[in-house]
Order: sequence, then structure tokens, then C-alpha cells
Amino acid sequence: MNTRRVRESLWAAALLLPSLAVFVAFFFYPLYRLVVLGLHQQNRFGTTNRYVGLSQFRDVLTGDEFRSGLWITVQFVLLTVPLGLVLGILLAVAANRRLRGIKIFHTIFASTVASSVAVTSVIFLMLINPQIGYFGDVPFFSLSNPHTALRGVALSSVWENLGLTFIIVLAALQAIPDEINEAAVLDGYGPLRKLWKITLPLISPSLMFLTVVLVIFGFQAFGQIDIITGGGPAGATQTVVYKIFNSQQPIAQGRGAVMAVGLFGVTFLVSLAQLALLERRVHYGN
Amino acid sequence: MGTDAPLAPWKRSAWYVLLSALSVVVLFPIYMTLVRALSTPASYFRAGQPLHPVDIQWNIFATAFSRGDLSAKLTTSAVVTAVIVGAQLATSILAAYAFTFLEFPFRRTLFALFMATLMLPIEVTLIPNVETMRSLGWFNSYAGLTAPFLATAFGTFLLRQGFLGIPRDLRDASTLDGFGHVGFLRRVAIPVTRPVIASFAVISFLTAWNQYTWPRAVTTQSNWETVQIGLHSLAAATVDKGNIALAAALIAALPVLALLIFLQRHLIRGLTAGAVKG
Amino acid sequence: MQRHVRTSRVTVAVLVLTALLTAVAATCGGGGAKQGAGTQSSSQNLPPCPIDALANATAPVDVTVWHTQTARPLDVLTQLVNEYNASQSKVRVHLESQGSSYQEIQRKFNEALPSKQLPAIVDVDDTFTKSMADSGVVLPGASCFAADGTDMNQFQQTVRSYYTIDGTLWPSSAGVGTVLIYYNRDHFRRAGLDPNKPPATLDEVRQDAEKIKAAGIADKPLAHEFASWKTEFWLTGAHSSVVDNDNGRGGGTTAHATMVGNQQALDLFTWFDQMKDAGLLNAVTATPGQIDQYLALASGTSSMLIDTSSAATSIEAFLGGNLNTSSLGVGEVSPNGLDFGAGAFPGLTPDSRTQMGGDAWYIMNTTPPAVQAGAWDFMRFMNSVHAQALNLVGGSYLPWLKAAANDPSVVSYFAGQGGIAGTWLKISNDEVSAIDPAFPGPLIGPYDIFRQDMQTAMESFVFGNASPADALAQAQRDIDKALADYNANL
Repeated sequence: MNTRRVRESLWAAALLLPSLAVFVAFFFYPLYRLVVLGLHQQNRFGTTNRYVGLSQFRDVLTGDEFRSGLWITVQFVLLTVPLGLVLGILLAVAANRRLRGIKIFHTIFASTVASSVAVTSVIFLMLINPQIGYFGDVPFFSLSNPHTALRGVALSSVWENLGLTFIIVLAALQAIPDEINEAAVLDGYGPLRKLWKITLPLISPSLMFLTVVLVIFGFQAFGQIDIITGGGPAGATQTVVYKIFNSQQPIAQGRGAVMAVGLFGVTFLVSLAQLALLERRVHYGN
Repeated sequence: MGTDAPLAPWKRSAWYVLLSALSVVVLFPIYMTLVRALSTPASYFRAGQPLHPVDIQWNIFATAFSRGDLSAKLTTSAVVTAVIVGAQLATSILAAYAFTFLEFPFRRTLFALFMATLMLPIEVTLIPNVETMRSLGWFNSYAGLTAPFLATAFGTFLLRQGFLGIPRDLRDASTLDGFGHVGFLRRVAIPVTRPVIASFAVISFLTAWNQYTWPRAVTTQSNWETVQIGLHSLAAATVDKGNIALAAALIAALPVLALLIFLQRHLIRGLTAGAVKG
Repeated sequence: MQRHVRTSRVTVAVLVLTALLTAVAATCGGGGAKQGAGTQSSSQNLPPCPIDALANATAPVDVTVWHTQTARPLDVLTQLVNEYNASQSKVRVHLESQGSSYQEIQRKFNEALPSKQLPAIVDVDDTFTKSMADSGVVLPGASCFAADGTDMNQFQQTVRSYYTIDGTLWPSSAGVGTVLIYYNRDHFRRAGLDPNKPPATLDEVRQDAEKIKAAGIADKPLAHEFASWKTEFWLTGAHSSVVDNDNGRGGGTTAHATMVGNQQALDLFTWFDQMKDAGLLNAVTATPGQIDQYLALASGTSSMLIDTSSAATSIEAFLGGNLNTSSLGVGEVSPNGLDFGAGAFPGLTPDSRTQMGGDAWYIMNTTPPAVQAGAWDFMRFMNSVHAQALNLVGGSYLPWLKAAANDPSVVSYFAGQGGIAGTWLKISNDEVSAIDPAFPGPLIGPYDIFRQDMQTAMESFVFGNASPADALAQAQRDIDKALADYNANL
């Protein structure tokens, strides 16, 4: 009996080792290293490394650089998530019916899931670029204006996420038993009331999942800014990840590491808060 | 699905109209990309940026291929994706098997540790990981492009869900037949959970092919760029000839688009895992 | 060599996987860690230039060049590299684009610096001099020029003195650019202004702008991209230092910015603030890659633009050809409404000059001697009359080799026979010659931070609500800190 446990433990060790090796090397060690980097300051050439202690954490996390980056990131999330959800629900509800050829519409609405960040950004750069864009002169999301440029970037992400949102909401809608829909009709529910009072509550687990995923995507926004605005104009689209990516030089690594820890903390707290908040409002069936 | 009652003809048409209108909106960016890619830039502007191609250059895709060195970059992307998908499948299946079928100390703690990595995306761990790549000399290499992604807790989670669904009887029967872990894995566990594995493979492929931040951080030589980074470089370098970058973007999206069309079921199952109950 | 690498990639991938799974990490070093020149250099202590190493090389030497050239200048550079590679078999030059902005290549260079994973040659902008000199990884151009026995007088004095610290010239080649004022001659005609007389000072710019706006021709006649390097041009041109220690070249320590109490700086910022308040300014933010200010000019939204001389060929492209409008009088309009001219940089005062600008090529000392020798050989080619002339005619980079200006292709280009941009670049070339060699421009270690701080300061009063004085005070504080950190080697 004992040897069996030992043998199983050895098996487990062997099976888990590959994943664990990767996780230790590229997830846990870096987390530790971030803290160490955050406690030090190097010179421009990387030839000196000075211990500065927790004051750097305090200075950076309360400083303009991180706070403006965080605020821009939060704005980006607020611009992309609600709109993305609503549009995805709209598409899914519209496409969730028995019609000849409905599958074609399903494929069309899901198609943006094939577009990567780079592909989407190059496409939208062409669509809303002030110089050569088809919608380049629309003031509402003009890329030339520091106050509106983020909206332009957000627009590209909303489109990019449409496919994913559509797929998940449609699957959730399709999982609703026919009897419920029929009962609602029999009870005299109009389409809007049915949507609001029955359908949405029933698919709320998926909506919760989707919200968490879209918020996380929003917090990680980098590629679209890199390609569409390069962080401009006047730094108005520099999200936290963009700042972190541009803080890899020796002289900036300390601050960049602190921002990364800050980002980790914020994402963690936001995810927890979301799960707690939305968990309460989720309906798990009748 | 939707309601059962047969629709009045006008209602059916109305829905088709609405769905078509929505399709136009969704497809508009892709359509304009095609229009702009095919048009000669100067002629297109002189014509006032119409909604149809102007002065079509059918060889633009060939031009994009050579100007953007796309065959090399597509190869790089393909190898990187293949390595990542293969490695993630291997490591996830093994880890999921251990968590599902083996008893060992600290099992719950280790599983929690695994799931904790989901909170540490590459964007957060970027600076130290890039530093590691530099010190290992893994910039501009397959090692550098794939190392952090050879295992993923998402895969462990998904496959564990799949393995948990295997009936106890099958497990017992396998033991009675004299098969150890390897045999059970090969003959029962993997075949039975093939749909889940396929879905995970598709998601893994999608994520690896579309990656941007990490490849951007670990390549400084253009011949090591993946196709996504190549798009960025091409867009910057050909800023005065916009059609080339757009053609390249369409080419870069093709593999995943093919995936969507031919493996739609697996893609959807993978994306909805954990999202939809039942 | 590339083909060979490609076929073994899959094998490499498999090996890597195995290595990882058995938890063995191979550690390889980066490029050769050759300790290079110290930070103190005088012409006596120049590190040797290993030019003989190339003769002993048995295989072709690979020289990688990091750059951020795009569009036409990139086409010209590519052509030159191809010509060079085809002309001999000992050196193979590869171009590696590091993005499209100088900020990006500086960032990448700094990131690669600690591990010395650097290419053979780096083509960066003109602000990197002091940082490069202090980095310890540069083989000074002076070393190789001395090894070749080159007579340095064949190169422009101003360019040399700009890039020389303590008697050592650091870059191995340079392309020069200054600033011009581009203006719409039609707008001038219609406003009753002489189309052949562009404004020569900022005061005249204001007067012309007011006339154009009053005539209802353009709502915001002056388009301007607020990049901080232009501010330096105005200040240097008015012989005003931006940092102490004689604008960084005094030989001592550069400890402070000279923004607060700098009357010319205040005058300049106030001038822009007043232009903004009078509604005469079409302000554009400086983002790498954006060209809004050129578009404002091309579309007729604005009438004047003060910007880099390397934009000459782009603006010429808007014209779509060679127009001869000298016969049109005041009040008349050219046939298609596109008639641009260029004038010398309008400074703060009538006798203002400009500052040195452009790009500089540095050879790294972190590569094997044969590679460094190969790099120097390529730099010789880039300093030839042919390459310098082509860089001008195709890429808008003014030559630092004096003889290039006398090359027939350049002479006819300057005369306008290759397009009107040639005449504009002639104005620019004359500006370079007129720069005071004793006051060519600032020398600042943390130049990149200096520019960021200046940019933030300008943006705060152009796009924000700060006052020019406050903006200068903020810039002073930030730059002082950056200088202090740099000097303390922090």
C-alpha cells in the first residue's frame, strides 16, 4: 500500500514536472524578480545597480506615470467591454433563429475571431487614420486629437472581439431549452421583455465569463496601441502594458517592474471584484 | 434554438434584411481592406476614396509576399505555433492526468499553484522574462519565441474537466485488463476525450498564431519575426504604399480563417468551455 | 548562410524541447564581449582601428546595420548597400530595421547594451553623441580616420565639431538635415504678399499669418508639429544655450538646464502661445510616423510649415511634378493651386542661424576585429562622393563631405534640374555652412530625457492650460534631475 502511494507520487512528479518547470521559470521566478527589480535602480548603461528600497514602489505606484497609464487602461476597458457585450448580444439574439442559411450568418458574425491584434490594427489604421483613412476625418474618434484617440483604438478592439462575444453568447442562447422559450411566449412575454427578464438572466453565467475575459483583454492592451498610435498623440494612448514594454532599458527597469507588479495587483483585484459582484447576480436556472 | 412557430413570410424577409445589414457592418472593415489592398494608392486617392477598387493590381498579394518576406515569416509562425501547440498538448495532458487519476501529497496546493499562473500573463512578467531570454542568448531564436508557452494552466484545467468525465467503469476495466497508467492514457483517456483535446488544440493554435507582445519583445532581426510582427514592420516601412501592408494582413489572417471555417465546431467548443453550462 | 540556418530550424526546436524537459538549460553568451574605448578619450588615447583584420579574414564578414529609415531614404540606403555588396566579396552588409522612429532604436540600443548583443553599426539620430561616447561600446570614427590617414578637412567643419568631444570624433559617417519654412505661394499671392519672399523671422511669420487669415484664405495659417528638437534650433540659432557648461561643450560637468531665466526661451514659448491665442496656429502633436502637418499644408488648410529639410522631397511629391510659376504676379493663382516654396529657417532674430541635425553612424567595438574592419570599409563607401551625392538626391540627407556638393549630379540638383526640392535643399545646405562652428548645438548625456521633458513642457501650454513660464520652470526641474542622475552615474 505504501509503495503504491510512493509510486503514484513519483508518477505525479514526472507528469507535473514539465509544466511546473515552465511555470517556475516563466511565471513564479519572474514575479520574484519583478519585486527585486522594483527595489533597485540602474544607470543608463546597466553598469551600476543601486538598492533604493520600497520607496520606489511608493513613488511609482502613486506617481503620474503609472496613474495616467492606469487611467488610460481603465478608460480603454470602459470603452470596449460594455459596447462589445451589447453588440455581441445583439448579433447573437438576431442570429439565434431557424432560418434557411442561418449558418452563413453565424460564420460571418463569428469571423472576426480570425483576426489577430496585428491584423485588426493594420486594418483599422487604414480605416481611421487621419491622413488616409476612410473615416479619417470623423472627429469623434480622431487619432490626431489626444482627447479622442483612445476611442479610435477602442473601436478596433470592439470589432475584433465581436466574433468571440458572438460565439459565446450564441452558444449560451442555444443552450436554453426550447420549453422555456415556448413557455415565455405562451405567458404573453413580448420579445423585449423576454430578452430582459428571461433570456439574459439565463445566460448570465456566460455573460459573466465574457465580462471577465474582455476586461482582462482590455487590461493587457498593447499591440493595438503599438501599431495604431505608437502611444500618441502626446502619450494619450499609453496603457500600462505599453509603458511596461517601453521600460525595458536598464535605467527604466526598476520603474517598469513596479508598474508590472501594480498591473498584476490591479488585475487580480478587479477579477476578484468581478467574480464576487457578478456571482451574486448570476441565475443558475429556475 | 429560437421559437418553433413558423414565421410569416414578411417577418422572414425582415430578419434576412436585418441580418444582412448587420453582416455588412461586421464585414465592412474586411471589405475595405480588400478594396484598398487591390487598388493602386495614388489612383485610389485621386478617385476620392470610393467604395470599390480603383486601378486594380492583382499581383499585390505576390508583391506583399516578396516585399514583406512573408514566406519566411509564415514559416516562422508555423514552426512556433506547431511547437507551442505540441508542447502544450503534451504538458497539459500529462498534468491533467496526474491531477485527475493520481493521489499524491499537496495535490490541491499544486493545482491551486497551477491555476494561479493564469493571473500572471506575459504582459506582467515581460521584463524579467526578456531579461532571461537575453542572458540565455535566446533572442532571435525558436527557443526564445516558444519557451514561456510550452505549458499552460488553461490546458491543464480544460483537460482535467475532460478526464473527470470519464466513467469510473472504464478506469476499473482498464486496470483489470492489466494496463497501467500509460496504457490507460493511450487506450482510454485520450481517445474518449478527443473532442476536448481537439478543442484545446484549436484554441492553442489560435492564441499562438495571433500572439503579438512576446514575439515583439524577443526579436530584433527581421528574419526571425513572426507574421504578426512582420505586419507591424511592413506597415511602418511601407507607410507610403498602404496597399502592401493590407494585402499582407489578409494573408496573415488566412490560416485562422481557414480554421474557423473548417474546424468551427472545435473552435466553438474550445471557446465556450467554462462559459456555458450544460 | 541564411538558407542553411532555415533547414535546421525544426531540428533546433526539437532539441530545445528535449533540453527543457530534462531541465538542462544551455547558457550561451551574447556577442563577443570586447571591452572597448574608455570614457576619456583624447586624440592621443584613441583605441586602434583594426583595419588589417579584414585582409586576414578567410570568409565573408557579416556586417549588420541597425537603422530606422523608411520610404525614399530607405530605398536609397538599400540601393547603396546592394551596390556595396556587389562591388566586393569580403564584406556582406545586412540592414535591420529597428522601427520607424529614433526613440525606438535608442530604446533597443539601450536594452541591448548591458549584454552587449549589438550589431556592427548603428545609425541613430544626432542626439546620441555623449551617450555613445560614455557607453564604452563605440569604436570612434577618429580612430579609423587616423588609421587611414584621412585629411579631415574634406568634411564639413560644423559637422565635425558637433560630433567631437575632447578632440575625438565619434561617428564614422553622418547625414545632415536642418530646418526650412515651407509655404504656399498661392496663399501668399492671394493675400497680397510677395510669393518670392518667405518670412525671415518669427515676427514676419506672424505678420504674414495675420494677413492670410484676414484675407480669409486659411483659418490657421501656421501648421506646426511640436517636436522639441525644433525648439533647440530656435534657441541655438539665437546663440542661446539650453544647458550650462557652455551648452554642454565646456569640458566641465553639465549640471543644469538653462530654461528658467532664459529670455529667448521665454520669448519663443510666448510667441507660440500668442499665435495659439490669436487663432493663427494649427498645432499638431509629435507622434512618430504621423504627418498631419504636411497634410495640412498639402490640403491648403494651412499656409506655412516650419519643418525638417528632409521633408523637401515629400512635399515636392505633393506637387506631382516640376512647376515653373515664376511668371505669375501678385494676386494671380497657379493652374492647380499647388505652388509651394521654401525659405531659410525663420529665427527669433534676423541674424539667427540653425543647429546641426541629421543622423550619425557609429561602429560598435563589441564585434570581432574583422567585423569592425568590415564595418569601417562600408563606412568608407558611405563617405564616398557617390554615396553622399545619392543620399542627397534620393534621401534628402545633406552631405558632410564637401566634395559631394561639387559633384555634377548635386550641382544640377541644387539648381533645380531634378525637381524643385533641389533648390530647397540648396537653401538648407547653405544654412549648414552658415552655422557657427563654435556653437553647433547642445551636447547632453541624457539627451533623450531632455527632449521628452521639453516636449512635455511644450505640450503643457500648447495643448493644456499651463503658462509658458510655468512650462519652462517644469522643464528646468525635470532636466536638472536627469542631468544630476546621469552625472552621478545612477
